[in-house]
Amino acid sequence: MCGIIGYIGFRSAKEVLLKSLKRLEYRGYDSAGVAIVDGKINVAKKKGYIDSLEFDFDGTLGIGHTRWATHGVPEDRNAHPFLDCKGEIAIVHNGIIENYMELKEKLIKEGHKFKSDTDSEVIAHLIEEHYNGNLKEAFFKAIKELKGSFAIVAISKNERKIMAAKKDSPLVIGVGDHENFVASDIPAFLEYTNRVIVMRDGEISELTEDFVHFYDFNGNEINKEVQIVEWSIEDAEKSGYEHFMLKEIYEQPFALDSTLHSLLSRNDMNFDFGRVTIVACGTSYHAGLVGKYIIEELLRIPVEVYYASEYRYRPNVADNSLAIFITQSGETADTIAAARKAKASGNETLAITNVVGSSITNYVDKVIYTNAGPEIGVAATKTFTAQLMALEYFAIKAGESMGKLSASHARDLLNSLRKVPMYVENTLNLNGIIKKEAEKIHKRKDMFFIARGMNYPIALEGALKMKEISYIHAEGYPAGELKHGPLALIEEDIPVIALVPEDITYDKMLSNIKEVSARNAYVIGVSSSEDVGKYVDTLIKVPSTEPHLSPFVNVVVLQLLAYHTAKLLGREIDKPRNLAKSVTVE
Amino acid sequence: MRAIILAAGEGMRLRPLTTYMPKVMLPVGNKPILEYVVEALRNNSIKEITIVVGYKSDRIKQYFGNGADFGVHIDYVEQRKQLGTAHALYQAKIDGEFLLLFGDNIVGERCVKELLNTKINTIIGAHSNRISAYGIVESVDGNIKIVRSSWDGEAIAFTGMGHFDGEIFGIIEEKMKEGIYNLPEILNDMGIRLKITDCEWKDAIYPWDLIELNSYSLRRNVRKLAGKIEESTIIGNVEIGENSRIGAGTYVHGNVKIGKNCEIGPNSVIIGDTSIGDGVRIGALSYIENSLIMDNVSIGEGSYLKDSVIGRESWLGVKFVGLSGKARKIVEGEIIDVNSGIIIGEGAYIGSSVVIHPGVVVGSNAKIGSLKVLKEDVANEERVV
Repeated sequence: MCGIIGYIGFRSAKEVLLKSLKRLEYRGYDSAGVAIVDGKINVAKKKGYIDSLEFDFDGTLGIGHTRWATHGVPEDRNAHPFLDCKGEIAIVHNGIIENYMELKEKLIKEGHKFKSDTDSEVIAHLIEEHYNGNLKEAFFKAIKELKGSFAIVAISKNERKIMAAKKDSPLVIGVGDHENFVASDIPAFLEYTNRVIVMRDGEISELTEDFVHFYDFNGNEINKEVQIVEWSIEDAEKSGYEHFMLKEIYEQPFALDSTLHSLLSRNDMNFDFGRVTIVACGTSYHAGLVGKYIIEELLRIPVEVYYASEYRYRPNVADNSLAIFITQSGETADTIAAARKAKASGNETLAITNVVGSSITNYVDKVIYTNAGPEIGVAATKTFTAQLMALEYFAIKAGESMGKLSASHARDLLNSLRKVPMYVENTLNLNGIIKKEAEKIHKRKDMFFIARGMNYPIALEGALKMKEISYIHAEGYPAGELKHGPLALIEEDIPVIALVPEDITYDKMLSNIKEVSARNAYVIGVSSSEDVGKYVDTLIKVPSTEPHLSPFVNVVVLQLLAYHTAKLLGREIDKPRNLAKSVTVE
Repeated sequence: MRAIILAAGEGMRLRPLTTYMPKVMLPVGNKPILEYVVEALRNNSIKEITIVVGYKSDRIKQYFGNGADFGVHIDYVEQRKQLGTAHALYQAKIDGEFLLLFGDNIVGERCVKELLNTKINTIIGAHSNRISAYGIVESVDGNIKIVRSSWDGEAIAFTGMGHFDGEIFGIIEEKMKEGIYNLPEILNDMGIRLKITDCEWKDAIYPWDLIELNSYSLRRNVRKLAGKIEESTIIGNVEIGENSRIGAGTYVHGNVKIGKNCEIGPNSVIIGDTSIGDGVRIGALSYIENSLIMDNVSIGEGSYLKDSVIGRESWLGVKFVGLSGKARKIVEGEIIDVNSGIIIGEGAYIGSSVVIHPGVVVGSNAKIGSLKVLKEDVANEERVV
């Protein structure tokens, strides 16, 4: 996954491109580069973070790229932009060109010289091959030959225009006054304009200072409407917090409130299905697992949860199932592939995503937006709780529309959701205690997170957060499974974080805590019950909630614990090694 | 095939709602519980019915008569002393094969169909997740036993349904000599079979259970609007009886059943699952949710009521508030935790601006003065001034 940006207008292209790339850094950050037209095309590119990119040239037309390697190791020469042989055409690309080997061989035979190992470089040479003094014409011809997924932005030194094409990778246009932008994501140009046009698959756009035209791949012109984006650039910046992750953890009460209000205004939540299949990756998968408990409890119908990357190996099963796809970015390649497959098998499909107009929304029948605002930290926090909120809401509305819940019961449940922002707010007040616990455990090599029932996925999520940002080995387990193996790994002082909500799992959790304390583990209990303090080394006393809402408070504790642990270890919290925010490769 | 329905008990744990009515005659979805049993039998073409009556038997006889209005033929036998369920059954002694049913549960048509397909000496069990109840079916050394116990999670409950023949009366006769009058003890010695089913079956043990039983009965609700309905919003399965008037600006969200000759609103809100009997008046600007309101109740203007049961002919003043929430109650020596509203018996009179806390029970014919806040139960006939 990569971030790309193109600018044409009157401002300093250097300034615009560097600022925009900074905002796209969450999409990948192993190398970055820019190309700016000033009589000729000047290129600067470098392995590493955007801050390390230094150059002197400037202009008012340029493109930029921030990369997360898929083909070719992170090196200066593999960084974008790429030029053609003569240095007259420059391109940036996000996605994968599947037939690049074949195209590359052909172009080499024609005499083209390649400088990198990437699939992307063929695009520059392909455009050059078709170029007869008209970039637009050459661009159309080149795009027709490409197979795979791509968002491509191209410029030529001879013409003041930008060409852009989209297929399966995101691309949005920012419409300004005497200037226009094209980028992978809206925050890239939100500082300059909030007028946005989202490009769909199979579309090409042509940008000059004063107009943006859209075409399909055959060159037929398309009319598209401008949308106004309401969130401000401050939303996408850290506003005083040391890390985006911490900021996003603290934004949860507000984000959940906005999630809930956008949900409550929906009036199209009528459903009829016999079973549910939930498909997602990573943190969204954990949200899906919590969703399973909620839906089965309220609707009494079976729910299956799949990893998107595994769903594809499932044969086509027509089972009157509603398939729900959960992806924060809406661009997760595995999840999109799964959505296409589910639809092809004849299932009803629903997506839960945070990004309006993202790719997944093109492949499903219905969309629930989590409206949590942009999330920059690679470790998902507020979008996870927003997904839980969306799933709770979905289960209640489905239960009501299918006659499984009385109007009164549904009303009570919906009203209880209104308390979630307050519960989360009160949990954030425990930050000091949680930080102290992080100090006690941050030097340990292994950790266990245990819970039962609907908090079991929260234990998994707590372990994932710990792994991804602190690089400590952490495991989430259903507490009852400990004695079937993992108990052998419990040794003196190993941290065991136990979630003990006051629900049907309470008594059994206490016996599991005794099992691990007996082996001298260091047990941190997360519970609303004071009594749990008698059985654990430290009790983190969370607010008491309705039983179905305990995951909201418990996960916030685990997010903060992972954050403080990673901070004490001096990790790159917002950009953990080897990880990207949204994974657009399969 | 004959069916014998036991309907002689009071249902003591449902007091004060049973002050003037046996449990089987308590209305849910505006119909006595017993009527659901009779309908399930009739729909399976079982028309010969013996009902064992006892406590307030006139109420039953008056309502069902000889059964002609219900498409069946009903005989009554009287149990003069309520000694136990086996004793009650013995009053209806016959020679041949018969089906046994309890009159105080909601029973679906399919339950009776499944019961008909069993062999003689079989009882029907159903999944139940109540915290405590009488009649858990367990297998003890390979024999089916009905035991009294509390348990954690799901269990099989004895539904009161069984398929027997005249032989059982001989056994009951012997056991009664030993002073055993209850059915479970007798069945436990007989070597009975158990059939577990997921058909429609639901019981109410405590007054607060009636709200859920009412909600359960309303699942069969359909939309049927009679009466005079002024400009109102009516959503979902709502039934409004003849001659009832719904005032302008009223919002009704199903499942809701409103009887005949009612006067509701204007500008009131009724949220399902709610049953409102015949001749009920609900004053303007009131809010009623998930409640069971029996015949001829009057509720004053600006009232609030949630998850509650209001007995027949009670009069509630203006700005009445019945709260819903968690409460711990002791009924017949058993501690139960409820999450519910209030219970008001028959003919209670409650003045203006009274607030009643969750779970509180107000007895039949009690009188509560204005501006009171009630946190404790009030006995039958008690005065609170």
